[in-house]
Amino acid sequence: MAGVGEAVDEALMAYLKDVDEYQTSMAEVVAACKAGMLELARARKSMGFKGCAVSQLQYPSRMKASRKVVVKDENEGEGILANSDNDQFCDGKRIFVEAIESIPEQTEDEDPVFVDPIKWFGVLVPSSLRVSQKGFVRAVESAAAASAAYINMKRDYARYKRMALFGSLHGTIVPPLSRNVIYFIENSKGKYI
Amino acid sequence: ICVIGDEDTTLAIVGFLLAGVGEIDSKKNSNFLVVNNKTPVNQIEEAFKAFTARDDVAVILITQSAADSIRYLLDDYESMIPTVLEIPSKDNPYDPSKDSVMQRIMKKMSVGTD
Repeated sequence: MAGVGEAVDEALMAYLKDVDEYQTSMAEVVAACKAGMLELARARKSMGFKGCAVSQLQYPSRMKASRKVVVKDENEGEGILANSDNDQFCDGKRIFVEAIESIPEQTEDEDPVFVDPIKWFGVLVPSSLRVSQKGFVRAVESAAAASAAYINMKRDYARYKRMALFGSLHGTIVPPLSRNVIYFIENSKGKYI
Repeated sequence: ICVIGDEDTTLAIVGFLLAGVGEIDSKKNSNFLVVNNKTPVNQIEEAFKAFTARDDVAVILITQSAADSIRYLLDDYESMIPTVLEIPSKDNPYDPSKDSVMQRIMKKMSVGTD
């Protein structure tokens, strides 16, 4: 019975760790977005034309994503997980989501659609636009980390619930989430800028 | 990665497109939606449902102001993939108390307290 209690504690601690990782990653996304938007505003001001120089007027009619995310579990090479909430994903393996740069392949019969997005706004762009681009790239990478933390959070919570149910069915008393947990969550809110 | 963001000063959408996440195919289907104050709510709903139904999308980034328009959809959304993340926009800083994910976490934590 002690083993069940330890498994419940382990599942709960894994869940809380994922919550912490999620909050940390979201704080990084928020900070990177703020920095990127500030630099983008500077770029718009320096490029003039009352803001029209950096707007959707410059978007091409076709574009291909050069930054994507890869979702995989601890067994490398498992590939992208499909949309699902079933029990298959509640087996304790950690999920990793990684943002990668993937230059799309250009076939001969296609019009060239891949261009570095910064070139949409001209050849000589201000340095603030490049800094803004780096900021948003960082935001994308942090968003991928937040996504991984969220997926692991859901899976660990499902595992905790199953362990708790198993424990209660076998006579192990599983205490409710204590006030210490609430204290932990409330005090980690300060991570947001 | 899909993005749903405000157009009031274009910053959120432009920023993420600069990072290279934007895609528009030959049929003019894009992986981002620009929302302004004239955009009807059902258009945002349809875009959200279309993005979540795609099997090649892992993360959806939505500005919190756009998310507030379809909060009921986000609160009911339970899938792990694609993950929906709320991001700030220029005029609306990130508010963790409105984030559907944080609300769900707090709700779970409040179950079984003394």
